Amino acid sequence: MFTEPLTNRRRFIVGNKIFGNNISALQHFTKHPNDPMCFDPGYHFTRNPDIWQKEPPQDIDFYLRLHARHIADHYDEIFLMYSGGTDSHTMLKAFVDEEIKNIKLVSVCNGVIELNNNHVIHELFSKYNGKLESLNYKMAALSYGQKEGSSSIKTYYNILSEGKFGDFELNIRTPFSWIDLLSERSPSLKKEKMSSKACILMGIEKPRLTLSNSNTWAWEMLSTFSPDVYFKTEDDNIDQINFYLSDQIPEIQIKLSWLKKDILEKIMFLNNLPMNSETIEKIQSKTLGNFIP
Amino acid sequence: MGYTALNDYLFSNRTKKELKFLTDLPDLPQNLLLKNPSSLVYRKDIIEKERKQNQINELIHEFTQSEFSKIRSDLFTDEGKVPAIKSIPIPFCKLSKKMP
Repeated sequence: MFTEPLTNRRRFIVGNKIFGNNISALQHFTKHPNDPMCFDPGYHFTRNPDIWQKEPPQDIDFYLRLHARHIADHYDEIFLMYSGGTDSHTMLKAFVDEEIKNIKLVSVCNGVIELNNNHVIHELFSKYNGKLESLNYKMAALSYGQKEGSSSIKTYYNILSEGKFGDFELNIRTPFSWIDLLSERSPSLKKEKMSSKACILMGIEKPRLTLSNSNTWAWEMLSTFSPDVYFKTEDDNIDQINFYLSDQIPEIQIKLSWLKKDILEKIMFLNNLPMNSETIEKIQSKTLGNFIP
Repeated sequence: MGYTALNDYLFSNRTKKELKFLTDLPDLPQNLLLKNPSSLVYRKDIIEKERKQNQINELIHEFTQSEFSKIRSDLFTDEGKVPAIKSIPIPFCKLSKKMP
């Protein structure tokens, strides 16, 4: 079950050596260039090709709601990292649709917010206003070091705080909380140790597809899409979960891959594009969340 | 940037002690800063933040100099960033020859 934090399970393999971080793996690869190097996202279902061969029969919402319910059944407290982008909003929707109560939304901001904050705020309040309140959802803003002071983000926070959710106390922290100026990606959450079982929920990573042997769709993941540091808690009672990658409900990532395959084929057909790896790469690179750093 | 590697590096015996004080550094109350931005307290906070930033920049520089130099230069991206490493692809469906 949810006992291993995401960040502890991912690993890098070079030849027959296993590394916990990419830098060590690349250093080893430099010395042993003939050894194959790969990234292992660390899930059982990403090591089991058999279960990928058939499209999961239910619609995607079914699996998302199933996962939301599964998580709610296992944790006393759920912190949902909410940026307002499609990924986190879809995750929120699954919890709302399942009528799961007492979710704590942590407003995390990045460039996306500045692009579409009007949409996000409109969506959040017009569609869910009243509903979130009745489910007793709370919202708090996550400190992002220097960026916290920027006017657009302040505005976003202010508008959200005008809602009826109110703030809550955060009781998790990151390994970088003591150097929160290090990076925008090292958010600071610091409070006391908690006694109940909690999880930090992130909605990242659309499936990334490629072609295998020029004629077969294949799922793959880049190490950069599975960030090596998010929220390292100092409390064993807090787990980190990527909502879209789950050994409990592997159908989510598999179904998304089958759906994305259909969309990519449609785009190539409708635009009369050559059906090869380069085209697929180009289309995906235009999609938010699929950039290559 | 390899955040896990950087974290390990920063938490090495030497730097762990040096940076411990940053963990315990209390934040100044926001209302105090807003009410009295020209105060000594405010200026002290700014200086402290700059000092933290400088120290962190120095450590990151030290980390990249020390660790990135052990990686073959052509492996980095054109922008000099740490490259992504791919998982082993999982084939799951033949490419369709017809409009889906």
